[in-house]
Amino acid sequence: MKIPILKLFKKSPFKPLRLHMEKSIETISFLKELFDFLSKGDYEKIEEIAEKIYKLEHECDKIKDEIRDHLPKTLLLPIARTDLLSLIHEQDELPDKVEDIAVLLTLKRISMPDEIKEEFSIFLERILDTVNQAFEIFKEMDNVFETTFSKKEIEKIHSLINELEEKEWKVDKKACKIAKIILSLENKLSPVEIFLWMNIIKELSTLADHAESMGKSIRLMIAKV
Amino acid sequence: MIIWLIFSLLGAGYMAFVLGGNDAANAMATSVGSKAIDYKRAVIIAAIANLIGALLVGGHVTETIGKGIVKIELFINEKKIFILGMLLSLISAGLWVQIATHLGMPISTTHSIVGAVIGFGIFAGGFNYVYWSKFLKIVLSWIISPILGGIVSFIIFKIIKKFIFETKNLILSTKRIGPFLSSFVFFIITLSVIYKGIKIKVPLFQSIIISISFSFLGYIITWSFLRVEERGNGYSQVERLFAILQILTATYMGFSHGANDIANAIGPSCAIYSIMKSGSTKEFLIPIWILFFGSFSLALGTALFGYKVIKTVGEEVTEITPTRGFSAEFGCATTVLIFSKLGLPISTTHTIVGAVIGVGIARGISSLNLGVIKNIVLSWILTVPFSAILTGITFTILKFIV
Repeated sequence: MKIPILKLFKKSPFKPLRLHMEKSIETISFLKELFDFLSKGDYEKIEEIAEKIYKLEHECDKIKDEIRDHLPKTLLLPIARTDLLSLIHEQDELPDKVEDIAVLLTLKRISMPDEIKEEFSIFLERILDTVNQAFEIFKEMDNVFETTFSKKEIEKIHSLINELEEKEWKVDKKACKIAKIILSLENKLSPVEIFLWMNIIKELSTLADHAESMGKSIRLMIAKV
Repeated sequence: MIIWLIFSLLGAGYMAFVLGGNDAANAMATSVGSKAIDYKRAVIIAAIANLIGALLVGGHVTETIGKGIVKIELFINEKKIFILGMLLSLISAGLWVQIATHLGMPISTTHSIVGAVIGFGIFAGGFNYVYWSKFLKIVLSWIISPILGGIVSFIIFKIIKKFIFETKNLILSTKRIGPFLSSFVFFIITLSVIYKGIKIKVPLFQSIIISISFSFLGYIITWSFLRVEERGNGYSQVERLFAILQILTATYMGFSHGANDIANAIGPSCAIYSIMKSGSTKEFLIPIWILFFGSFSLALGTALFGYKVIKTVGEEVTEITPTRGFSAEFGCATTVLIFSKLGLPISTTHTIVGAVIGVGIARGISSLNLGVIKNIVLSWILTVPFSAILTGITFTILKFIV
């Protein structure tokens, strides 16, 4: 039996997108353990966690493809399709970057210089904070949809996005500080180690960049049509 | 000749059965989808509201199907031909619905019966046996009805947004706007029943006065239903209150559906009865017992077969909430009722699709597949000629046997 009304309703793309977000957060939450083991010098554990990250990243990819496959142009969404696609793109960069970082840590056995340990844990904390903020904004979108883009809910999201931008800025500042420390250790660390550390710092701070970009996509999404 | 009437009634009963079983699900989809009412209640509401709508307002479209498309007066000396034609229209339309459903096409019984009657007219007497201007009006109504349904739903949903979601005290606003919206429903239903009604005929001014009184009554009833204690000020409470309001719009949907679609089933039978009973063709008779028989079959179809479809729809349509369902049903039912009053046979299914899209355009639904529009348009463009030809062929063959 064909019921036209059944064909009219499509599953919301926001549900799998949320699942993707949750998995991304799960992937990112491994970063702390990863660097904890690095500072302890437990390289086997690092390999172990890296494997978990690869697996999760792959799952995220699958969800992403699934969402994209079910977004034909004939779909009527409350937001612009292109904004949704750019949000998916930015969001999927998160597990991608975590994977890159895990790879970097398994390329060569390096150790964490004592000089950065304290700053680094704050750095990680701030990155997680930034990504979580993006997730909070994402969750707030539910209310925006429920109220069909009421001014109140849009304003709430705007202020959350402003906070997000500030958090990202703080991450950048911390990244700069740690980079400076690493470079100042030129006599202690080998050029290879410095090279790897600079890359790790760069990749980590792009996590916050992508979280910020997610906020930007969401800002566009909820703008007046 | 009475045997022909019995045949036509069997056909009418079958058609009403199919309508009740199939189309009621589309009418109830947004109620069960939003979980405002469970499928058992939906079946009961659909069956009863269908019955009442068909009985009270079903006559207008019935008259159109019976004598508004084919020039009945041209058959005054060939009553048998007319009776056969009408009977075959009914059978062919039913057959085409079966074939199309089997092929998975989202066709409408309305288009099928209109096409069938036209086919009979052309094959029986030629092109001048059909009221083409009326046909054009009907075709226009098929295009306008989903659009109008969409526009009304869009407006209703925007009202809900502006006067509820944009306010500080959501619950208070809901309790204020809810009864106001439902008083409209009461007004329209009352007006549709008493003004130029089938059995009841009240002049316009008095009709309006009576309808306003009923809308006040509706206001008070709804107000008292919405007085339930709701703690907090969240959006989910608004939805819960609208789930109560959706009982009203679900009834409204059933009522309008019955008012429009009953004609597809009993139109031909009433035409046959009219030409048999009255010597002249001036008078079109809608005997209350045929109306009741049709309405009852419709309700029975819903009760016996509709529950399965309604259950399926309720399980699979999940992306709709009571505020959205309310808006879509309001828009759809109002449109269908207006067209019923104008005597224009339209598709409830297509109108609810239009209405839901209207809510979607108002940014109310997370994702709708507009590809379905193409299928709908294609299927009705195919349905009219196919059921016309089917009727024409069976008619041309059987004409010689009778």
